[in-house]
Order: sequence, then structure tokens, then C-alpha cells
Amino acid sequence: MSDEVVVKAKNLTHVYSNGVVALKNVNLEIRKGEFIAIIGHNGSGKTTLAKHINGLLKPTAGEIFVHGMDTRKATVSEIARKVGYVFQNPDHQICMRTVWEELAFGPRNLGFSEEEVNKTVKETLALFNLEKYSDVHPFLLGKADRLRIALCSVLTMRPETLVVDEPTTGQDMRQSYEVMETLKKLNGEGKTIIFITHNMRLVAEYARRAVIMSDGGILLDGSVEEVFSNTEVIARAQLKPPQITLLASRFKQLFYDKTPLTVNDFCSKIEPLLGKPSQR
Amino acid sequence: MSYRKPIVVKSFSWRYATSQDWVLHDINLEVNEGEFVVITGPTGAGKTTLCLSMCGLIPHHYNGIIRGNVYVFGNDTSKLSSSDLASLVGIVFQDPESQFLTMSVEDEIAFGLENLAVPLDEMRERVAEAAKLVKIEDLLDRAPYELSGGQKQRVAIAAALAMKPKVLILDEPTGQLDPIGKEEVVAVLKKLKDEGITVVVVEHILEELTPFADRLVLMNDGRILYDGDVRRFFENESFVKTTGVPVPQVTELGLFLRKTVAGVNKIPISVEEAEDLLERLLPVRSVVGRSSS
Repeated sequence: MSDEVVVKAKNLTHVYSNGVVALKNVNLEIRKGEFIAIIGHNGSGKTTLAKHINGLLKPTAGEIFVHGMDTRKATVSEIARKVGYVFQNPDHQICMRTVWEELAFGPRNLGFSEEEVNKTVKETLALFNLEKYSDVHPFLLGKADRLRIALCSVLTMRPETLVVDEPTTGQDMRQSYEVMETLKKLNGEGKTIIFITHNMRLVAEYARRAVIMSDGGILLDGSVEEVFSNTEVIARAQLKPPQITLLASRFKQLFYDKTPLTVNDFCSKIEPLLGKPSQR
Repeated sequence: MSYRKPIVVKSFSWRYATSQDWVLHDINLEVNEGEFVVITGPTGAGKTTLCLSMCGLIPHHYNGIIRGNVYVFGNDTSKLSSSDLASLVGIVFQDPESQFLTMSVEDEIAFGLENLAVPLDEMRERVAEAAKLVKIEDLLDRAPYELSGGQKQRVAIAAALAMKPKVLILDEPTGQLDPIGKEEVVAVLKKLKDEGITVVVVEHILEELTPFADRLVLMNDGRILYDGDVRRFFENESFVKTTGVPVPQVTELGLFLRKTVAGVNKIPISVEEAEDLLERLLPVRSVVGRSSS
């Protein structure tokens, strides 16, 4: 993580034309290289916030800067060079007749040379082991594959920041982990990853920072550990921490210094205590 | 006779007219009265196809090739009429909107009853009863599309329950819901079990359901790989790994404890069970309580 700020929202507010206030005075700063989860129940403003990061929505009050660009002034294509956005429903973005064309669509629109297009499409397909689908119509694939195609078609534009809205909906756990592992790898290459999810276990296992949204505002913003150990706010946001974190909260004396987020965290803490024979 | 059981799937195979291979291969499955059965498995395993077969939508509304039989309370589904099937087996899909047709929750719940020409008084009673069971009594005048995900799914469940089916099949009912919606639906499922309704649920994430599931059925590639006790399934660690089924975190902890210390006879499948186990293995609270006093 560097000091470079890639997203900076100041009093960001968005009121939809029907009068619904989806975001209220949101202040948020995201730095290059972060792996950040945005959580909260439906209608809390997560997707509206995400759509401000890619410039699809503009603030109705306040402002947001993305890679230094004021989104009210920058064009969507200028922002698209920096920020990739994967929709929750892949079918909302798939528009071409073959997987290859779908992946080439974005970089072509951004004016990549045909040589560059070929290179980025090839590399991206390889990253997901999707070469075999190159000539297949995207809509002939299953939902899980379509989601991966959608993700790929954004990656071919080589964005520095990736916003992924519910990357694991409709996927089974193995596929969910595959997607998360890919995001982790991209993060390892220096990309900033912002993902929205309902799966708290994935937040605990992959994100380093979590932002809880509720009623269009940020309820809590901190390290994943900090966020999941704040049982009061978690409950207020009507969320549930991962099982293991919940279990740890019932043994506070053991975990007073560090909230376990994974089974491994939990085990390494209790293992020394287990050596001694039980008193009962 | 065993065929009187709510559902008996016998040497059943199916391929859609459009599919290149069999989607279900020689499935044998029995669901007993009052049982709560969870079906899991990766995407493409055939779970949804099995649901459609158990409620009779296959073969009545799909083209394909069939082998073997599915019996619902002793009746071969391929020989029953849609309306007979509808009063025996209810089905709820992952996307509740896919089954909504009307402009009010009340009409939605009544829709199936209207089709069966149930008398008005009885219809009112059954709608009220179903709405109460899933706690949507105060939503009856609302339009289904303006509800939250969890509310929509409960409307879909109420619509199925109003038909008074003897078995309710739910295909990933919480798949598209946020945490609140999930909890609402899981609470309803638990209540259905307590009411003695036979329930078959397809789910990917098991930790919410394992505490009260009677049986787990694992599918892959159109076959049943496991059918039995939930706890016993997770106890077979090396097998579970090959299946890709996510192990609940507390169960994972239990497996670690079993390897590390003596006295772990039963691995936990709920947070409460894990809490009890830990208290027994390391009486932390009392120990710490003493040392700090």
C-alpha cells in the first residue's frame, strides 16, 4: 500500500431523482493497493457508492475524486482507464457474440492497438483458464462463467483499481474462492481492490479493511479485525460476523488482544492452553 | 409400503432435450415424513433438476428423456396431473420474482388457490394462515416488487404454503438475499421444521442450516455422492475436502480439537455446540474469572 490516494470522497451525497437519499455525507479515502470490503444490508448505499467510484453516478452534493479526477468533470471513459467496474449481474454488461469479442470490447473502445488488444485478451483468458471458451457465445455459458467473463472483460482494460459488486453471487463456494483468489493475486500485483459482499467469511479471509454502510452513511471504517470485533456496531448494521469471530466474542478473556478472523487464528491462540490437562 | 413416503426417487435419470448428456444419473433418494433434508453440491451438479423432478415440473413442463420413476406419496409424478401435484409438493425458487404474477402480496399468495377453485372463505383463511407462518401479515396489501429480498422470498414461501403441500422444496432460497433476508428465511425454515412439514432445501452455504438439518445429500455431476447424517459427513475430513463443500468454521475448529486433545467425541456443527465444547476443554471463563479476582 502506498500513500497515493485513489479514491477520495468528501461529503459525498446522492439523492436519486425519485427523492431517495442513497448517500449522505460520505467521507472516504482509499489508498493505492488496498483490499477493501464494503458491507451492509441491501439498500444501505453500497452499490450507489460503488457507482460513484466509476463515475456512472455523479454526486448531487459533495464531491469524489478518483485517481485525482473530479468525477463530475471527467468523462466515463477517462475514469474507465483507471477504474474497472464489475456489475453484480454479469448480464448487465455482456454485449458481444463471443467471449473473445467481449474481452476485446473494452480495450478497443479505449483505443488500444489491435496488437495490445490481442495480448491483453490472451493473458486475461489464461489467468482464468477460459481459453477454451474463446469462440463461445457468452450467454451459452453458465452464470458462474458469465460472471468470470464479466470480470475478465474489465481486466482487459488493465485498470489500476477494480470495483467488484458481489463477485460471488450465484457461484458455489469453490468458485467464490477462485474469484477471491484472483482478486488477491491482482491485489498482489498492486491493484486496488474494492469489493461489495454479503459473505462475511470472505471479508474476514481476504479484505484488510472493511467499511460498514447503513442508511447511506458509513457506520464504521477500519481494519477487518477492528470492524468484526465491534459487536455493537455489527449488530446495529444487522450483520453477522463470521462464526469463528462470533465464537471468540464469547471467550473475550482469551481474545482480548486480537480478534480471530480465521479458524487458524483461533486455533493458534487456544493451542497452548490445550496442552495442559483439563481441570475437570 | 415405502412408496407411501413423501418422496421416493427410484433409479431416476433425466436428460433435457437440449442437453448432450444425462443431467441426473440413476438417482435413488427417499425423503421421510417430517424430515428436513439439505441438498448441496457445486454449480451444475443437478440439484435444481432434481428439485424440478421431485415436484413434477419434470417431466410435465420440460422436454427430455426419462428413466426410472419419482413417487410422491406413492404416486408416480409422470402420471399425476399438475393440480394434484401442486397440492402435494410446493416449490420455491432462488429468484422469488420469477414466480410473481400479481400486484399484491395477498393476490400472490391466493393465486394457486384460485387456480384450484378453493372456496373464498377457505382461501382467505389459508392466505392468512400462510402469511402468519412466514410473518408477512402486515405486507398483504403491498406490491410484491416493492418488497425487500427477504420479504419477497417469504411471500414466495407463503404462496407455496397456502397450497398446503405435504412437502416443500426450496431451491437456494437464500442465494440472492442479504444477511437480514437470509436470517429471516432461515428462521422460517426452522419454523416449518418445527411444524412438522417435510422440507427439502438446496443450499451452498451450510452453516446456518446444519444445526437443524436431519440429513445432508451431496450431489456432483448428476449423482448423489453422500446421503446421511450431517455431522458424520463433516467428520470424514479427507472426503469433504474432495467435495469442495465449505466446512462451517466451528466444525473446522472441532476437527482441529479432535486431533489435538482427547475427549472430542462429537464435532460441533453450531456455534453453541462449539462454545460448549470449548468450555469443557478449557474452562476459560472460570479460570480467568478466578485469576482476575
